Amino acid sequence: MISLHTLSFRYQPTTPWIFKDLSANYQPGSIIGIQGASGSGKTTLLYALCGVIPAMIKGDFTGEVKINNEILTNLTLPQIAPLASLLMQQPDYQLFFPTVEQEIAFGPENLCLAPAEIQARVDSALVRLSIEELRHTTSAHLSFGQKRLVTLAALLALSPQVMLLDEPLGGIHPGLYPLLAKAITQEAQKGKIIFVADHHPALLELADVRLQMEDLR
Amino acid sequence: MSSHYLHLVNMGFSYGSNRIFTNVSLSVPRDAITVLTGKNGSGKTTLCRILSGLQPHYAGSIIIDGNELKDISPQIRARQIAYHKQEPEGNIVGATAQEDLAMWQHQFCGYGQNDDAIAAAAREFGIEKLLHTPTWELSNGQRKRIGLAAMLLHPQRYWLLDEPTTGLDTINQQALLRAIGSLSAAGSGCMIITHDPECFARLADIRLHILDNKIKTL
Repeated sequence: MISLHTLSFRYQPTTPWIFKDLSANYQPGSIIGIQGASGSGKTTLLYALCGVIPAMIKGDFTGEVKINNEILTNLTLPQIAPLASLLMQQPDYQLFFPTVEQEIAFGPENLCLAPAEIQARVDSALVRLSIEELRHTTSAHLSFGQKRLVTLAALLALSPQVMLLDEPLGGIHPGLYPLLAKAITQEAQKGKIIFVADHHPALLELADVRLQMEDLR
Repeated sequence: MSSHYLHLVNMGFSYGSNRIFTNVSLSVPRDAITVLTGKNGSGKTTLCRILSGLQPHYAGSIIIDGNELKDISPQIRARQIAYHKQEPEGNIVGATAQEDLAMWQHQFCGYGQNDDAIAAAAREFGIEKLLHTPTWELSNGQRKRIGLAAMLLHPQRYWLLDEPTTGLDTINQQALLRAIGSLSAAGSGCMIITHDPECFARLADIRLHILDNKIKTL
């Protein structure tokens, strides 16, 4: 379960609150849609839900986020990663390895899983997003949309308790929307908690709950 | 519609052994609004990079306004064609939106700063209150809008718009459509790379699709 307790954040004391006194509990299997105008703070909320705020981005932060009763501010980012991880809008921020296969394996490798399990997770993620043909491709040679699919595959392979998806459809061909929707639904059925920030209804329609950023202040 | 501005004659391009385009031939008028679609990895962004001069090692011929693209100097090319990249960071050089938009006026268009025009363009894309905010404090969508506001300052150029709707809410998508309309009013045009062709259905003069290393007219 993820619990938000009077969560508030603004970048500076003189700037408006992005969200104020946000309290909620979300059970395993929940899909939470985050919507709002461009610049309304969707990405900022996702940063707070995975501890990037306040660990990396300073500001006026109060309240707490708990995942499985662990308070995120008591953990380091490497400790948070298996609990909550973020799919960023800019895939280049998340790609580090020469090939797609190495990239997807990085998360499960850092969980110290057995080699066979790592391989199984990599294979499964590639198949689920229909990118098996990219397995040995150099990450730098991928298109923007392909990079986004690879970073999502890496998130699926890491398999954190809470998945934070920042505009996951950005740059993706609409023919793949059902594939992404299926992957998200399957993760929820496995008990993951998934936050989806997007402007497109294709994934927001999956949400059990929707947060409208403009209503959180 | 005006005479053809952009001519591709048997154009080919590969990344090493990875062939992207084979014998592509097409012509586009100066003031046409062209919508280009294709699957992820089909070569949409590569075409933008080729047409903007960033990938000069193409085969065949690309004629822009009567001149072979390879023979056009970067300075002249920059005044003819503008490339709005998918990643907002790729479109921003200034530390603030004001600086960035002013820089476009100074460096690429050779005329003096016009703060009123900058303010009007910013207002159209809802970033007028953010003109002096450091760009690194802006959201992805807000940064995207800085690059799109530049369209209003330079409607006389031919614009390559690579997935311009990504990260935009519906209000700003409408602003984008109006900005594209302003290109037409200035006698110019654009090529829009998109996964959402319906968004541009009412504006599109030409619809192209990349499939199997070819560009087909729909």
